[in-house]
Amino acid sequence: MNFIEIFTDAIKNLSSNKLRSALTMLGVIIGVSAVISMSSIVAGGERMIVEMIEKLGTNLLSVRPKKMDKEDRRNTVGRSKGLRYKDAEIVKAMIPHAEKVTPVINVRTHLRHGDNDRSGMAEGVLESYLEIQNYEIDRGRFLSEEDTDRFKKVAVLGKEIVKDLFEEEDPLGKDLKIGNQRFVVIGILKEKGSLHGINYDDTLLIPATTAIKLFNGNDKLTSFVVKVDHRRNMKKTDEMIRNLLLQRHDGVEDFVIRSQDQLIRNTEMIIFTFRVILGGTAALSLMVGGIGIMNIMLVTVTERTAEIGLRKALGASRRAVLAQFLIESTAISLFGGVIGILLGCLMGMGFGLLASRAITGWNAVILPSAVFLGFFFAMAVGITFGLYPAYKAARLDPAEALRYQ
Amino acid sequence: MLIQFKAVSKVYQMGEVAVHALHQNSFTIDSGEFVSIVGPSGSGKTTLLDVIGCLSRPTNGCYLFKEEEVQNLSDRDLARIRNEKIGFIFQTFHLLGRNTALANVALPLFYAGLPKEARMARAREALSQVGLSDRIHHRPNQLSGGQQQRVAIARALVNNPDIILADEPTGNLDSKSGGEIIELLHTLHKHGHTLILVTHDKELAGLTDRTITIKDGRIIGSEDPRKQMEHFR
Ligand SMILES: Nc1ncnc2c1ncn2[C@@H]1O[C@H](COP(=O)(O)OP(=O)(O)OP(=O)(O)O)[C@@H](O)[C@H]1O
Ligand SMILES: [Mg+2]
Repeated sequence: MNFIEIFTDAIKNLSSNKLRSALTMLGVIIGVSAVISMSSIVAGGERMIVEMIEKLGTNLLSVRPKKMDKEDRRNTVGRSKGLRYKDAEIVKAMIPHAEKVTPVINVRTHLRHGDNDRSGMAEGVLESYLEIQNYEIDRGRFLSEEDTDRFKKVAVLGKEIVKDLFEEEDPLGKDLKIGNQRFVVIGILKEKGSLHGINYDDTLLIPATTAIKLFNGNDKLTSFVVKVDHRRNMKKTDEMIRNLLLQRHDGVEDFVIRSQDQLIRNTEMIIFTFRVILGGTAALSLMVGGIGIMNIMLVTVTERTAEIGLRKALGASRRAVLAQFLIESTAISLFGGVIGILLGCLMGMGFGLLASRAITGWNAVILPSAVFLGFFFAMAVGITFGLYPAYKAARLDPAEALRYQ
Repeated sequence: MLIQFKAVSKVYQMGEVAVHALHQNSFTIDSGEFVSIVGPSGSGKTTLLDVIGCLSRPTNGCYLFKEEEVQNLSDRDLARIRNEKIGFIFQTFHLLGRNTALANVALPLFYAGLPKEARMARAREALSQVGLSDRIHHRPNQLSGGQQQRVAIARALVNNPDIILADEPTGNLDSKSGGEIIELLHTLHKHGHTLILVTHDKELAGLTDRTITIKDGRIIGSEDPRKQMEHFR
């Protein structure tokens, strides 16, 4: 049997009743374009959120001193010395899943180079900070173990600091005054942008040991950050760190451990909910489209009873008649699907562009998988809902069909 | 013997009521015959033609088409017989309105599985046989009733069938074009085709080799061809 000829015949039939065919296609068009545009919107949002989270660094636990009220302080006086450099070292040494650890010592002070000066914050960190916070080196090098061991007065700058203090000048190897101390610039970080009002390029990093020695006088930490080897170990590690620190701090809980895990989990939950709603809506509208196809195909079969009778009289087998009507319903859904894909892509891109203007970090995304899925479901709907009418046509009795007026 | 009916009955079951459209009919038709079937409306002529044309199976009895027992054949085999061995002509032409004369005539060959060129060539030939070579690209609504019926005849001819069944082919035509159609059928007969013509017109029936008269589903007369010929002389 020649499918191409049956197909062109089906097209001829459909175009002989354009309005009806168009209206029938509408259900499929709406369904498929809904799948594609909505999935592109969800994907755009998802990508933005994932990028945000990745910017923050993944699998991180951050330990900070807890703000204690007077009552608490009085009760625990003399028992704990707070969060210390040694705490970070012990965590790194004792906790199996703590892959990387860096203490953070913030020094709020005055920055100057030549005639340019501004206030700012220097962060005393270890060499592991680079990977933990997902920074990358643009030029020069990052802090090294040697810098830490020797209390070197070296600094790594973010682009914002470079711009403010050095303007057009190349900062590498140049002097930079932090407070009263003279530092040498050894590296520049790649741009990272900002998130939640924090500008990640307004960063100045120095060795943690240098920060303790020159600015703080003691080894109290602003915080320390732990990178856990795998996400599934987040909760366990959180617990282990807590127990370890409690032990070291004589049972005083003068610290808090924060994790992004909950944030990620919430985000995933929201995305999942969107997916379910999207999937349900799309399935529903495709289903409605399919019922529309079935309805029209049943009408068509009734209208063309005499034609079916004739074709059978001329030798069309049941299979030939079934194929004819199935191909016709599939053609409807095929064209509806293609138009739906185009429309869905257009709507998805349009929304993405609008959103990308309103929300930084949003990108228009068209998922190829959604396009294929939409197309596949359109075809499936055409075949599924065309099957019964085609079957009805195929089993018409030829003698009775020919008598039909 | 091309067609042999042995006590063939056709019963339509309409709920509680059984309509006996054909009642234990026996007759034979040989290759090369031109047979007419006459009878009042509702007597079972179309039903008889349906059974002969393998459009429906007899309820009871035995129908041999080219020595094959039709009542035992599958739907697929019946479709094949209709496609290869039988040509149909209807009162209402039954042409596909969207298709040209050529495409209409070629349709049986499509179901026979012939390649496109062969179909078109044979359809052209059939149309020239009915004198419509200059109308092959016309659609049915661009043709007169007589021309439409000639397209239908070309379609019945195109698969070179063993028998052509015509159910009141002139019923929807004026007497002039009706006459032309009858003339065409006689020409086909002369060229060796076997034909069955259902008609209300006694005069048209008289021009055939033999007339089968049917009433209330029973064949009440099957005039002898020779006697018919004498009468004609
Ligand atoms: N599908 C059917 N179901 C029930 N009864 C039927 C069916 N088809 C035909 N009949 C009945 O069978 C009988 C014979 O019908 P048929 O159409 O063969 O008559 P006919 O001789 O061709 O009549 P006409 O000259 O009007 O065409 C009629 O009584 C008709 O009502
Ligand atoms: Mg009739």
